[in-house]
Amino acid sequence: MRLSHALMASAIALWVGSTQSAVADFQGVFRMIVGEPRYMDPNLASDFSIYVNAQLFQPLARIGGDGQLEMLQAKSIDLGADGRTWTITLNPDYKWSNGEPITAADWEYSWKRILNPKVASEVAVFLSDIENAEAYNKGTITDASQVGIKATGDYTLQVVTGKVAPQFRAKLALPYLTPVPKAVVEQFGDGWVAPEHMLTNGPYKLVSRVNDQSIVMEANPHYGGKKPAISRIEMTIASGDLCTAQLRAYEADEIDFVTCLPSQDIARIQKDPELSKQLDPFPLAASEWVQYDMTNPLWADKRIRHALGLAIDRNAIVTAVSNGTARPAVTVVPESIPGGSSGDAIQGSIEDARKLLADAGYPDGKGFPQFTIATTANRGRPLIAQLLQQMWSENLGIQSTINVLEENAFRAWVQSRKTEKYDTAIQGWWSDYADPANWYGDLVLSDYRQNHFSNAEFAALVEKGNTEPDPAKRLEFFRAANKILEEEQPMSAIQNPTDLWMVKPHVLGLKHEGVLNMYHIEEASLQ
Amino acid sequence: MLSYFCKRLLAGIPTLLISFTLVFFIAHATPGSPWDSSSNRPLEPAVKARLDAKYHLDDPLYVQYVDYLAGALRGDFGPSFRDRTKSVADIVAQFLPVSLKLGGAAMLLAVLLGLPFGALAALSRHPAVDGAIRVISTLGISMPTYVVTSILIVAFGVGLGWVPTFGWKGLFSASSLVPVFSLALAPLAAVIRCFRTSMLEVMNLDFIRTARAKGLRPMTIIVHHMGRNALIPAVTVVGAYTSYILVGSFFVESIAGIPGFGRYFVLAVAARDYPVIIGTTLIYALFVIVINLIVDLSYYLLDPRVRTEHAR
Repeated sequence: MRLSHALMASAIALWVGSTQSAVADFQGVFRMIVGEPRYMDPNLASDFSIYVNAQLFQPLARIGGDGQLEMLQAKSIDLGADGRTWTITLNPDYKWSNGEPITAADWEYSWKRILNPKVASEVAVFLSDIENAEAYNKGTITDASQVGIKATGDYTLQVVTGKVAPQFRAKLALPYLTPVPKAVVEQFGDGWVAPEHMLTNGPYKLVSRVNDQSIVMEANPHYGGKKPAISRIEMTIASGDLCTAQLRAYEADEIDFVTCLPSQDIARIQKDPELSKQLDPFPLAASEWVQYDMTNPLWADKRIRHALGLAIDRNAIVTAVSNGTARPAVTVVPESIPGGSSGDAIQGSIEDARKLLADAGYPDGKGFPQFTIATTANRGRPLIAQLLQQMWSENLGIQSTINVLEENAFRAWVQSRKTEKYDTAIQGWWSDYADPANWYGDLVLSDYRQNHFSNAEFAALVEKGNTEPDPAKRLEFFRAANKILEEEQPMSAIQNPTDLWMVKPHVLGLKHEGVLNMYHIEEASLQ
Repeated sequence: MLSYFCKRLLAGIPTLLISFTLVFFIAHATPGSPWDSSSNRPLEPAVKARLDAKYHLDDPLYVQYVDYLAGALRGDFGPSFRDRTKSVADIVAQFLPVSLKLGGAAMLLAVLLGLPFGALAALSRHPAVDGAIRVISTLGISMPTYVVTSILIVAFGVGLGWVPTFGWKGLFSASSLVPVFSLALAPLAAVIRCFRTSMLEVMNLDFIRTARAKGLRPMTIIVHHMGRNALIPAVTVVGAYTSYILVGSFFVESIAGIPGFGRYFVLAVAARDYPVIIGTTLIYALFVIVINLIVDLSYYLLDPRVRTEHAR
């Protein structure tokens, strides 16, 4: 009996003891919860892994608040008189985390690796402006030396685009376009990202990684930029409901930083006198909308699309979905993107919407066939679908059903809409890089969301804008394109999402960066 | 006896094959692709085609089935699609032990508390004791684990700050308190109810009266005579719970951030990680088969009647 008591007591002591020691360790460490990165290889990741990788790897430059490039790993980036030849001089102060120099050959190797069809990188598309890059990536040419990326000196890299491509400047700041250490990648293959092998060029290096459990980083002693004030980052890995896990841990003082909030907690946080001060919202250059299948005869009459667009109460949607933290959007391209302007929005009241529908042959919605609103199951989209269904029914007298699909199944559904007909879908776009080409070109012309909008005048304007070197003239093309996009209304804008961060008061200087809303822990310090 | 268990073991093979076939075709029939990430852009068709080719997903489904089955028979379940630097075997080796420890601790807790509480509820003359234990056991059975886990985390993690809200720092740390208790609650309640009922049944049997009349000590009667006989139904309940608790609870592990087998299974399904889905399902099936066998074996050891039946 005594022995069992002793055992019980020691077990309790062990339990309590381990908790206390864990608390003591937290001084001087930045703690956060992230999702499990799908790739630790910066040249492969295009999902939220980039936020983890951005602490370890750094691109040539970043876009500053004024829209100009701020140099990081590059000392200078110059565009030649031909408008196609970019000469990039590297800053030799930046070294791999083992102290070896990062040379132009490393950069050439890495960017060609992204394009290598065998690597099958999702981010190859961001290098497609480069001469022969697409052909090499698609396998139509196999000789990598024909690709317009060349190390012309130890620290000079020359990149030639296929044609004049002003948007390439913004892409130079993309977090995926970093170097990887050639020798290590060639020696260890996919396993080069293991902590014992990985070399980084950014402010931190990888110390340990346990899959689906934790990632630990420490300051890279050979980093060429300003030495980080925070020397250690401890990331706990969450799966599933990341926002809820983050907020719980944040409120229990286990982490210093929250990157999103569960929608049901937003109102409580906003009312709380302490927590509301730690709230750090960031309006994103992103949009969500409802789109019509433009090849479906149901939507052939522009007046019907206008009627549906005018019948949406956007304020009601942002209030219901995000407690008013997202911003109601009347146009698809956000105003922060050059070309975007809310002045181009279609104008009219609910009455006007009813009249438009009546003019199109459906007075009070009579005879309008029932249609389907397709949506993914996440991001509050099912609620948006329900509100649209209700608004269209009440305001226009037309009936719809909702088809909610699990996230991955929804993506497969969207891809299969390339050839198959549908009615409407709720969709969104987050800026990849700070340039109108990313919206008018990638989103609309490349038809990534299977909207099937085709308009010769719009396409011609975007093509001109994509290759116009003069920024002022370029803007004019996109401004004109935006007017057509709104007047044709292939999509009806709903809202511009806002990222909601929370940062503990003892963390100073953690800033939002760029259209991807990156964070750079090296800029922050702990009080 | 030996032939009976050999037969049972052999019967497990078709069960595993059927599980394998079902999960293989259901996984592949589910819409979605392992390569489509949650990034902004859809995957370029050329990239998708190359990845499909690299992992033989462009072969006809029956060819994939035969290839995969041949690999599985050699013990090779292939690479994980979600983390291509790891094989399914690596993943099992990394995540299953966490779930086993957590589930083992939970089952131990359920049995160590369940049997005395069950006995107490049956034997107590005081209606309040029986009532209180019945309330606990009813709550334990009717509250889903995800509710229990969330409530415990919000109360003891966020509210009181006694335990971490998230993550895993080993079994002997505060991080295991909430998940172990949440996991233990349902089997605990079941053991209490089951053991209480069977104790009540045994209580009035003739041999107990004889034992009392012989003047044996009450504790000896309760433990050796009543308890041992009442244990058999409880073993069935424990066995049923053991297989699913040991392999890892989807809900508890996801909510409490335990890097275990159950959570990985959920992630694999969401990511359409076919090899991991198939591998984990087979391990789960194997556990169910083996633990059912162990339960049968325990009847044999606990109940002399079963032994005599087999001897005949």
